[in-house]
Amino acid sequence: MSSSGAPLCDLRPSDGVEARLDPVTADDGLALRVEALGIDYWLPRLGQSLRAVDGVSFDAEAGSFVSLVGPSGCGKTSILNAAAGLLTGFTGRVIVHGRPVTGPGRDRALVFQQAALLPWRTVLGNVMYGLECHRVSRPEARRRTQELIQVVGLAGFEHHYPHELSGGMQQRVNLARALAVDPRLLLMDEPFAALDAQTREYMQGELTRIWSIKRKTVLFITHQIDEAVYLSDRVVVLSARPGRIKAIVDVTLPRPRSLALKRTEKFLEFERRVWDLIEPGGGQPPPDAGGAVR
Amino acid sequence: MGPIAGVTRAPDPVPRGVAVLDGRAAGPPSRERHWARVGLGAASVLAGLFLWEAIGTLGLINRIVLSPPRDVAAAAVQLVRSGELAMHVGVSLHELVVGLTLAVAVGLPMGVLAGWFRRVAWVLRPLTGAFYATPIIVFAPLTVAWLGIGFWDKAILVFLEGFFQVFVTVSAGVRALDDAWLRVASAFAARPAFTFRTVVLPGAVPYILVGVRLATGRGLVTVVVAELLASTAGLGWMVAYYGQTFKIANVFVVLLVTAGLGVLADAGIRRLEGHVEQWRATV
Repeated sequence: MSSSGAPLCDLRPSDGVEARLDPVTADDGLALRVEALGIDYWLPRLGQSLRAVDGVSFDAEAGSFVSLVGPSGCGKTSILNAAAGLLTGFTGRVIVHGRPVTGPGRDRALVFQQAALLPWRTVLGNVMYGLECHRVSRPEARRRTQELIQVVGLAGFEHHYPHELSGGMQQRVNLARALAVDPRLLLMDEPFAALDAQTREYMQGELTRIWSIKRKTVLFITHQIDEAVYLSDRVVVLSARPGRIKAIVDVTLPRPRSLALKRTEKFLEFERRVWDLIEPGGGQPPPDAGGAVR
Repeated sequence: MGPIAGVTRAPDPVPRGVAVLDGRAAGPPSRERHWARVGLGAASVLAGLFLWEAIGTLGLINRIVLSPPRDVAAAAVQLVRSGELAMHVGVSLHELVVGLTLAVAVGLPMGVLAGWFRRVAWVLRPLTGAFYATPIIVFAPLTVAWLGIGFWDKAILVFLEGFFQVFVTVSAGVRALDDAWLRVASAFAARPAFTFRTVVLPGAVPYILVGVRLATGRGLVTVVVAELLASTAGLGWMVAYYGQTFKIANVFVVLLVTAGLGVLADAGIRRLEGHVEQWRATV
């Protein structure tokens, strides 16, 4: 796929996914396999169920960055919660490193949409929280906490309380807390959604920097197309409710990626393509409508 | 590392040249406002004392019925010197502290359980609801009948009064815990006991303190009223005894001491609350 003159991206329209489950293979190099995932919620007041996610299948190679994009209510967060083991009662399978998910586990860590920091703990205490949950020894926990605080750029703020931090800094703590437990799979639920546009852009740059250091497999939820394209190796595009896979786009833009990349024609090309998949016929007016791709 | 967006922090006390939103600093009040508050409060108390003294000195009301501040002060000196006041304060405080300690020791765990497990709440709520709405002092004749006139009949009344305050506020506090905090613990696969210790308890601390503060205020009232009804010592006993023997100045001394104790206890717990509330401060 990476011969010279390769297409800008690899389009793989989802072929009407059947609930056809292969036996779990031990370790196929895939950090995450989602197979025919179906999620229904029960609405007690109406006495009926609501299909949130319908037959979703995709996978993530170890060490890759995969984003899930789609409109509000398409079940993105439900898929993430299923992978985190916080959701029970779904159909299909979620397999992390060859083991079906049955509950929360130490191989995964979650970065929350709202930072969800414990307000009575300092930055240090919050970053250390996951390590305490995992009963990591004190000195080791301190060492890893200090390292992560450095990595996310919060050195000097160890003893601040969450309410003394800006939204962007709170999200850094949120990220550091998840990375501190050294998960094999990092699950990120729209972590920058509550930030202003400028901070958000800056944090995207920071995340690519941190990711290049830590090299975790990441499943990242967002509704911002440019964010997904900028951060990811692969973008999984979901339809409106019930969430079904519309397309999977492999983003072949070179790394390391600087924020300046976002202004390049190549980048905009990718962004436009994902937009076209979400709203065929141009929901988003492309800057120049020169039909580079179909 | 790039720049980091600004830190919002309320320094202590707010120095000059620092912006404050809407005249309300997030932190403690400025020194200037503190003194304004103390000054105005003192002025109002002094004005009241002056008026009171004037009424007595001018003979507008009989000194035996309304003792002027000078007489009250003299009575206070005498009651303190003889050690009588200290003895009775000691009796009342002992009843109060023992009752409150029991109330917290029982009310806190039961409140947490009722807040956490819905079934426990279903079992306890009919009972607690009925008692919470009842003025506990109506049980005074019963406690006297069962335990006799002395220490335990009052301590038990304080316990009942305090227990329901602590129980109701703590169970409400546990129910009001932020789901996001609990999800963090579940996502890290925390054991239930660990979640309880690191999320449920610290998250409920502000409510626990409110419960203790309400229990203390009401407990003091309960002690004094119970002693008024039937006792051999304590602040309430003093009020009853000196009231019946027309030593009105002594009655005033006891009233002032009781009010002072209430204010002190309340201020002490509020201080603790303020300390805890620091992390609750939102912009």
